[in-house]
Amino acid sequence: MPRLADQIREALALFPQLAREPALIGGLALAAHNVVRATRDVDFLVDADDAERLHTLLIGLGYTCIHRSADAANYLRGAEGFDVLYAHRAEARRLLAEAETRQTGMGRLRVVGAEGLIAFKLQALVNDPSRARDLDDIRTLLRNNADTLDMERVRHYFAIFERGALLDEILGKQDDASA
Amino acid sequence: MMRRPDTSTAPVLVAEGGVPYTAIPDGDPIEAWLDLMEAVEALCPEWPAPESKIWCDYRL
Repeated sequence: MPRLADQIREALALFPQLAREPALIGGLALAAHNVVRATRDVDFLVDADDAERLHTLLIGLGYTCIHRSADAANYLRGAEGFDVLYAHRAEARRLLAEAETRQTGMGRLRVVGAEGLIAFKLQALVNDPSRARDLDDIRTLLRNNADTLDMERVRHYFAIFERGALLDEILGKQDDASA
Repeated sequence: MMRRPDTSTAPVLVAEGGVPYTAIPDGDPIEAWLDLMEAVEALCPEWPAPESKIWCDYRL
């Protein structure tokens, strides 16, 4: 079992101590939606009401908090990162509530749906447009989940970030490629 | 006499770098990721420090 899997399993063991079980987002969550690529990003969406409790638990595991705000926190333990986005707005709370449960080799894991994962990838891209990997992930999520995605919802997320034209461009290129 | 190479069929992998495609794994994709990461960690046992992800524009 990879070392990263052990890190995730260790985190999952903490979650019963929180009021609401966190859900996986970021690069690793891609795997639950048919996009398998190497990643070391451990990112979880966590109910904002659990922020303090989770902080204490992670410090207890030897992590150092390198950043913490109302929206996000970043923890580090050697070369292991652990990133948290806090759900305190309506959209994120809804995505957390609707996260799917998967049985995995690492244990029971909640994962944000593909539409929400696209939304978080878009948020990352808006914050750092140089992260071409996030744009690639969005493209691949759209392509590999084309039959099941709720596109009305995907459009809604692109509208939140005023990137409707980007979605049209991505979908247009995918149509051209499949024609 | 020297023969010219046949250019009527372009050698895709050389001339164009291949065809873009994404393989969707058979079976459980999380298990596929675990298999992949096992290989990645074997090849790269010492990982560089994680990238900073401190942002300012949160809308979700």
